[in-house]
Amino acid sequence: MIEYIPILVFIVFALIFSVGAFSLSILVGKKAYYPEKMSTYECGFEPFDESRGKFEVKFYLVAILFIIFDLEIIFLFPWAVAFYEIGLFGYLSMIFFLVVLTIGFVYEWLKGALDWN
Amino acid sequence: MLFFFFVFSFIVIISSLSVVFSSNPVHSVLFLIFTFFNTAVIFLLFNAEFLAMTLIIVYVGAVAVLFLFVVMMLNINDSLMKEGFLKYFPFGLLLICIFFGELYMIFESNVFITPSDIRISISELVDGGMDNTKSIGLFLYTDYFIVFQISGFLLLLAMIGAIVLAHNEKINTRYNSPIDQKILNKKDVIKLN
Repeated sequence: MIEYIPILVFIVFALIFSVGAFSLSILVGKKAYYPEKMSTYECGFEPFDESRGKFEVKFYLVAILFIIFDLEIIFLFPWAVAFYEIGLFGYLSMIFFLVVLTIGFVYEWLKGALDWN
Repeated sequence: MLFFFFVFSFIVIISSLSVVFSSNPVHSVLFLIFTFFNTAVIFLLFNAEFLAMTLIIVYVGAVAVLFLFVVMMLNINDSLMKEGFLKYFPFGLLLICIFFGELYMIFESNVFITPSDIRISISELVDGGMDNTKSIGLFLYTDYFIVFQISGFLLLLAMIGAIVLAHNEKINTRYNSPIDQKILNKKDVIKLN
């Protein structure tokens, strides 16, 4: 546990610095509000549309495929660490898992889900 | 140690309440990321280092990004958001009941004993000098073979389901096949002078 103490110290200092900077700028900074400053800035035009537009669904597809292979790699870590102890059965178990996911990967590749358009 | 546990679990409770009650969905996702980080710290306090790092890599790195995409894909209007509350309330209540029922069954009874009736204590292994990642690896791939393979099939299902639902084949992809480029004849190509 002791090796995580530097991270805790880092978090505490980051907290002090960020809260301090914000509160100092709120307390000490000069505030002048006028309509031109408060209005939306969009290169001289009035805003055409809402900023919350709809995104295309293909971004979601990329994200979900990323999650699946991320999880596959996460499963590989404990397997690699305990490789000598779990023996042949553990090895074949992981190979079967990888084959199942590779079937999905081949399907995805042939379907063209990885091609960006 | 106990002090840190209380500090971080307090932050988890506050930030997860903020996930539910903040009116801006993007703020909700950011509070969710904050909750994930603090949960990872709680895992660290219990010596579950592998789970802590997994939580950060998978949940913060991937699931939170997915949630952000979902939030951006939905057409979010503040007035529209509050309309469906009463309609979905019974459904949400049902889900909460199922969730608490499952928690009760796990903690209060011996309904879920391990497949081959093996009793594994990860904390004993960790106290015996084994690190957390290794003690997971010793049992996940052999004793919990079925559960592990089910998770593999679940991932396959998620992959195929996402492609079937979200992939549009009709759009021509702007993609050069290396094979097509290789078999191209010189005389078929337009020459520019």
